[in-house]
Amino acid sequence: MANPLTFVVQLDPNQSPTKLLEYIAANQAQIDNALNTVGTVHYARFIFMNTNNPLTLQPDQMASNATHMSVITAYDGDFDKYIQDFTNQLSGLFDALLSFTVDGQHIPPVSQNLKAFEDYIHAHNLSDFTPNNSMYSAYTCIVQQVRTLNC
Amino acid sequence: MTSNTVDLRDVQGVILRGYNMDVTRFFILQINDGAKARQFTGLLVSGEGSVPQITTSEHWGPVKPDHCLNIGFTFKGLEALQVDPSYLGSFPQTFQDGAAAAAATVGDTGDSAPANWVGGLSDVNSVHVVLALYAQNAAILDQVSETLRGLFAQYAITELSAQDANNLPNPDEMYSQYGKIHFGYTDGISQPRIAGTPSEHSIPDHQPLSPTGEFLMGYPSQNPNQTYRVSPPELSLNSSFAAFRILKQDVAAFESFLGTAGQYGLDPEKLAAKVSGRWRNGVPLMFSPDTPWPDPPTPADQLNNYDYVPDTSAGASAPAAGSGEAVKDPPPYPDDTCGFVCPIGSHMRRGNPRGEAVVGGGQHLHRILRRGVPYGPPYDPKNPDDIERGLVGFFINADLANQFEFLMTNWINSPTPFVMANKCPNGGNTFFNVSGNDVFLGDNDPATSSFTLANPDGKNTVVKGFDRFIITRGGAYCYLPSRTAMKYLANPQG
Repeated sequence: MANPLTFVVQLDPNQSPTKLLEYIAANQAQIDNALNTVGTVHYARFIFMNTNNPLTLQPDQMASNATHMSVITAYDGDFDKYIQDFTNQLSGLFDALLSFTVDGQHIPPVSQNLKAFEDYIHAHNLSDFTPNNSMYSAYTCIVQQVRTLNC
Repeated sequence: MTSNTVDLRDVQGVILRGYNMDVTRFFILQINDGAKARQFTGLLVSGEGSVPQITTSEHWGPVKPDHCLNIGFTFKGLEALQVDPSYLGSFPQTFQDGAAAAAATVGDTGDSAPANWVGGLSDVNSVHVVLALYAQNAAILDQVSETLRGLFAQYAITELSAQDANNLPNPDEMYSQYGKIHFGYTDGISQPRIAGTPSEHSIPDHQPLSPTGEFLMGYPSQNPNQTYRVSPPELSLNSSFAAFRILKQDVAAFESFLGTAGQYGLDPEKLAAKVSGRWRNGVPLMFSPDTPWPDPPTPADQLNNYDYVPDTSAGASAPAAGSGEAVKDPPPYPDDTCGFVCPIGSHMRRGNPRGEAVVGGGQHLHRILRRGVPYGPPYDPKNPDDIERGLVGFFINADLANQFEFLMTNWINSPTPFVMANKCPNGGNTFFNVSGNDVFLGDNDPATSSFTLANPDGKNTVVKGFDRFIITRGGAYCYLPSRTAMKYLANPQG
């Protein structure tokens, strides 16, 4: 049974969210490869939001007016279980992402501050708290089980 | 890191080498007076007045000492030594919480639960020190013990218990450099080769060197950007951590389990090899799938030189540049991604998956140094008895959470397959070729226990209904201070 991560952070208004968008785009292949290597993540996506557009939260196409950013995933098991392997694979991404936030810039390098990073993720994971902790899943299989199906 | 960059004189000996001494005694101690215990700690470093001295990793030259001594402090022990609370807070939370708090995580439940631990280990607030005395023979062990016990009395230290252990000789002359454990297996073959230490030149293992920081604080770790540290620096560099464990082995039950091999079309020795990954003489299935004594026999220095998958770490076992050693080709081994030769769920593959693709991507990582010694008399199947026997000692790593606990949780006790899905012949998949927990160290229950023997025809055989063969009789998480750290603990003011 997959568990939800709905990680939302406020972006530092003194930095350009476009640069973060560009960083993610430039490293997408590496990110995908790391997620494949970790092997516990069903889905992952990055969402930029603009709270100054309260009706839809949509930012512009380059996210230049984004105020918040979200990482949304469904993953197997306990989040902390493979945290160090995860960090080994994606420390560059996490460091970059945190450097654009209002309240996480003190954490990088995450590989040296694993506990602080874990605590930060939990504090910013909407799905860890009521009323946002429900999730529907069509199946109970873990990622590797799904992969045996070749679909 | 190049060879031998670690100051071996500063590192406790048990971390970087096995002593291979005949007898061992583990003293479980309680500190009653912080100041006196600090003095005692200082004496163990200086060796003043014929006090037995802590053994370091420095090469002892042509003459092996008649005994070796090493020490570990629990977090409660550091508190009892009155280490500055701000420094205590820098120690990893896992260590601070201690072994009993991690019991459910690592499978120490039921009979293995901390409430049932022996030798005073169940009283976690009183267990402060594990002092390990290794000796060439029983007379020396008793003689040095007497001296130590005199010091315990002098420095207000209570001996909660003493756990004796003794090497079991290996009847196979060819592999006599390795000891035996009560289940009949040759033991101690596979140990990490640690960068910057003499173990770089241990027998080849077809794996990358383990970073120094995986076993000693203060060096780059398995994550290149991560260095495990505590404060102050004196307590950090060259110190380490260990899970001290007393593991009772039910040999009669294990032999009885092997007696069921016929149900699965195997003979008992083949089942023993399948659940372990090695024949009981130490020869890996990867070199010899059908017999413990292939012709020619596997040389003792090649018993660890293999992988389960095609070469993922070419040259990994090559001697360090400039070492002057000849590069030796390993014996051939098959691509066993699917676990047809050596089961994916075997003890060897769970404990060290080598190049096998595992969930998390941490193959070659999460390793531990095993410094266990058998206790109790050898088991004689012709004269079964109820005498307790097992294995006791330190399982050493720089990060208890990411090494010992990760290993016990994600690979040893992991009914959910820990291996990445990979296609196998006839519609099979690696995912379906592993089940249950580790046969030896798993928290097994006959109602649910399971061990998969994968077959290339896609029709796997599943061994079921076996009991738990190892019961944890005690545990303690220990800090293994460097020599510098011991001096600091003895005299924090300098």
